[in-house]
Amino acid sequence: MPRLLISSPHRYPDLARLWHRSVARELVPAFAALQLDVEVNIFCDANAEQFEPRSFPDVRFTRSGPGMRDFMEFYDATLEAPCDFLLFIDADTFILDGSWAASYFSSLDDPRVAAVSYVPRDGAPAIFALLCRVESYRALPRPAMACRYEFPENWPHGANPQPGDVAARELAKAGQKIVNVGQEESSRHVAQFRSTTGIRSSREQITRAAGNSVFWKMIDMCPEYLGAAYDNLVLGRLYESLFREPFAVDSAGVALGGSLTVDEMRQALSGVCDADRLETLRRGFRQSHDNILRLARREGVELTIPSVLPEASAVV
Amino acid sequence: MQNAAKPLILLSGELHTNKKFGPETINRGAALFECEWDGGVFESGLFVGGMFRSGRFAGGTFLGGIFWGGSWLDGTWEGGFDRVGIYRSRGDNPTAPSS
Repeated sequence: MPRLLISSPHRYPDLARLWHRSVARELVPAFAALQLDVEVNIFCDANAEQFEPRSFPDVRFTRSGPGMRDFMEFYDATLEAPCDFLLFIDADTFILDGSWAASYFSSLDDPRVAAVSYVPRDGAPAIFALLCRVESYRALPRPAMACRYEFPENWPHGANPQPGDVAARELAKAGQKIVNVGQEESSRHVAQFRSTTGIRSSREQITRAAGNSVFWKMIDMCPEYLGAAYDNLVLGRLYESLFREPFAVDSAGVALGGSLTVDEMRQALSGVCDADRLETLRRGFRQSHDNILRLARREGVELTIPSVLPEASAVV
Repeated sequence: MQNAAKPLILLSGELHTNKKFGPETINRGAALFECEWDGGVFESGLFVGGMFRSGRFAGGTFLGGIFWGGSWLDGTWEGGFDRVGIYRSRGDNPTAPSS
């Protein structure tokens, strides 16, 4: 029986529990129904001791170590795992309809098809949710999946292909193709949150290396951090509803202290005066709000999301 | 007798973005985002997403930038690119031959 490995890198066990719950409900049975031997793998990119196996039934864990020191090496190392097909799914990407995802498996009957990308980036195939024919990727020069900085002599105007982008280019050269699900279709079936791990690790790393005040200066400077923090806020509501535990705690155990607390979000947003920036944030929040409600519906729970925008402009 | 350039010392709590620092600079705790480092001593602090062109990295955290040249003496390599643009993973040494 052909083997499918569903795999993802995680730093935080709370987000991993949400991810695993969705994968076990939606994807494992849908792909198993195609007569595939399905296994789920979580790579613990950090905090490995916090991943309690009893919270993740039927998951095979891998830990960082030689050859797989971080999530970037994880992709290439996992290509060597005993499997015929690999479904990489980002830690904060949730496929809401397993039968929809499984319906694309037959695309791989065509030997020229190396992969199916379920979530595009700027219209191109991306690694957010990528079903790979392992044989095709193993044939590529290594490292195949890691990001790069091309033309570094031209910094800051070089090219920075993201994980999987160079592989896609090499596959195309070899006459292989990636089935690329379009954004509109993808959005109907996938709830994607962005940079939710990034803001948590950034808070840890910036605070440790440069102090808490620098983290707050970064929040002022980069509005995308607020979008990621909002995504954590809504994911936290779902997590607390399902598991009755706080989400993204800091070292003192404060909920979302590892990202931004609700009060911190409100405080940071009250300082955003630029109308265009506020409107961009509002649009992103609306999308996240919609995504979490769709995910909650699959879980059969109802959520209330606190308003964080200044009163006059609050829409979610 | 030539006058030596007065050292520029960057301190904890400072955040610098899109700036270039020359050989007279010593970092003692500042965070540098998308900056160019050319010749100074990086003793501590955070280097994110910039170009480490030359100098000594003696402590602090390097995250996501390009290590083009200079000496890697100590510090925390969280990830970044070597001078040919290959990603070096956490814990690597950007000046060591790639594995």
